[in-house]
Amino acid sequence: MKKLLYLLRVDALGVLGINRLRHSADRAAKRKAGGALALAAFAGICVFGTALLYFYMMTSMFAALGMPELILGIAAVAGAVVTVITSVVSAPNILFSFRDFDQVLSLPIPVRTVAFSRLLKLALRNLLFLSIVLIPAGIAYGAHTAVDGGFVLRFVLLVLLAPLLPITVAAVLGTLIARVSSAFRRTNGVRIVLSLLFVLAVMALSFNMQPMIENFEEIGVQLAESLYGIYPPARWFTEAALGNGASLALFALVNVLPFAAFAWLAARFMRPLHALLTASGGKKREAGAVRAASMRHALFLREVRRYFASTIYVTNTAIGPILLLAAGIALQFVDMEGMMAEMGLAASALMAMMPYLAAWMLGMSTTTAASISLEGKGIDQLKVLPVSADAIFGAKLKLQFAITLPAQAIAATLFTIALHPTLKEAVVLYVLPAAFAVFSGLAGLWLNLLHPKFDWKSETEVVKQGLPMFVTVFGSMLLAGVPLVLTLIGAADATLIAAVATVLSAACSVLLWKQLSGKGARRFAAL
Amino acid sequence: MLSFENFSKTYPGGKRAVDGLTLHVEAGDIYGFIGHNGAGKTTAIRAAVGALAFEEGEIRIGGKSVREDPVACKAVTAYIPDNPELYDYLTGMQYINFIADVFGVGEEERRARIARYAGAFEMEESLGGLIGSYSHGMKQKTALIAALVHAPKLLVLDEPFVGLDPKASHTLKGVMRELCGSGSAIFFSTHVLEVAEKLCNKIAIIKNGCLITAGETETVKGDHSLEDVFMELIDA
Repeated sequence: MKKLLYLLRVDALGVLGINRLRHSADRAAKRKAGGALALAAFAGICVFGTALLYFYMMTSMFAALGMPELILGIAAVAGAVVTVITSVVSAPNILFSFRDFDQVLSLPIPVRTVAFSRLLKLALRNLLFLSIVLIPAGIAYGAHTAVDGGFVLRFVLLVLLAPLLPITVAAVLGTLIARVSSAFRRTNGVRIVLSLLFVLAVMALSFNMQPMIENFEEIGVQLAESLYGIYPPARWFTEAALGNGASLALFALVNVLPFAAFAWLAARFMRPLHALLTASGGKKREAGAVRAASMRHALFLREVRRYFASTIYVTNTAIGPILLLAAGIALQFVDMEGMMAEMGLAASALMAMMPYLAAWMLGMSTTTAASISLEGKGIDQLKVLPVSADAIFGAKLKLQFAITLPAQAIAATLFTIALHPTLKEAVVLYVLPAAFAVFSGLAGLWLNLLHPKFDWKSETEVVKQGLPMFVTVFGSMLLAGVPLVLTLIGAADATLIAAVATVLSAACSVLLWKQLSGKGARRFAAL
Repeated sequence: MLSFENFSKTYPGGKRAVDGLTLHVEAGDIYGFIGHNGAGKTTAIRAAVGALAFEEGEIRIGGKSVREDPVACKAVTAYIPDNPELYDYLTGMQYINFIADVFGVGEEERRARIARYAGAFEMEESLGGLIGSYSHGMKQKTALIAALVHAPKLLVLDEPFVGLDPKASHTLKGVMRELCGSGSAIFFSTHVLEVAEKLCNKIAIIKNGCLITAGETETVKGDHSLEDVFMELIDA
């Protein structure tokens, strides 16, 4: 137990730069660490507040149906699905491929303790995210019903148990994907494809809810059954929160037992899996042809190769464009206008939303927000090259645009075919998300220059947990959300709002590029 | 103190990194482990310290099997890889305290040893700073202090002199001789043959996973320099 706590303590000191803030002798570094911590806290508060508002509104709707507890089920399902999706790629890296593997394994700590500490690390990180989803749901429920201390105690226990099963599922599947991929020559490519397919399958399953029936009174029951069909433990979560002891026991068992079983397996196979996941295969490979390229092309190729060398980087950033394309394809087969008419919503509402949803999806996929940090301790190798900072930034931005803009153009074409927009609406569909993607790329790069992290032990730390990525993902939600809300409430003509949003994105992009070329270049040199 | 008994390791994909290695490091030995790049040195070392699972042969530390009693073996061993992955967000002192905690070193002993080795390696003024601000040599020294704080019976080092300044190298050699004089054993890999020749009482040379010679340094090298012997054996 003592040794487990030592491992967890050392890991905790690295979270959010707290130890740097306390011990750095460099005042500027201390200020930066303090600023990053404050920003992370502020972002966390904003996300918590937004979730609380959103869940409160939803609970009001469910209360009108006589089923306010539905919000608990929704939060449990949403939290579990997102946990599985976000952990399936990172779990094997955190569990079996961490950089200080040799040193930790050489310490007189049982392998099972090391394995358990890594699992707990994964669980605690997901607990933080799940808390931001589950606690607001609990508060929203409590605000609509009379809850007692018993509910609070049960709910706290349920929140603590909630991450265990999803991360076990993610860890098992992620490890299987990694194991299968290692048998192929192009290990990384296979792993990327399998991981993306898995994520899309989970999302498709989540969205494949039963169609709502026309009887209004039964909607709540149908919704509940659909939810519990996606993630059955959500039923026990809800019932346990309401005081059902048997459901509490079932929820605890279904989370703890698989987690414990996987912990045993992880300990048993930790070293062979590490060898498998970090091996270069020992296979003889052809050296390949000698080819000359221009400096800019060489830098761009370098960025492309770096991108595809990292499963987590690809799955975390390619998912936005892929979802956009999937939505475009799905719309060819689904009569969205008909469905919206049945729900009493105008088709124009859908047209108003689409560009902003697309913008948000592209904003989530900002490769540049981690591209400086991912240079890691090899940043000096990049800095000593006889190339300008502009050229380096240009290559990183080119990768970002290569991933987002073609997908956006294809998706916009698919939306146009499916939704029959007016000419103005079609132009907005093409232009607004593209302008937003360009702005996100530049903003992500600037953010990463301001807050780089080179001492990571696992790429997950910068791709999924880095502050620039966090700000980019949630910032894009906010920036796309504001004009969307203005459009939906009819604050002004939809095309005018879209035009203003596009022009603002473009203007900010120009300003950001100027900043990058000037201050950005100086910052890069000082890294 | 450390025994490889017919140890072999084949990686997934079929690469046989070490084949039938049998080698004994006694208490008091400073044992140099030499070989070309990819010869299997790091594989053997990683298996000995518990970072690499293996199925063929046996490795014993202090008479105990590394496979069957790993924690007991690790409790008397200190390992420093060629590029130590210390925690950049910790201070040097925090890192050393972490290692000392894991090895159960008492506070009095800890304080005395840290003072001693931090002084010897001239790190007293730096241990309060973040490891992230250290040079490579300072990180090496911090890793060494952390390894020595628990008075290991077996010190396993992979390229220990890389990145150390001449004074620190000299200090390390003195510490190694002192440790061995008090009954510990040192097993280290190096490419610096002059250091191995002067420092080690025993040498093993490995080529393509196979041990080609091992024994007292004077016996292995005979009337030649170790470099000449090494080049002759490797090119044969």
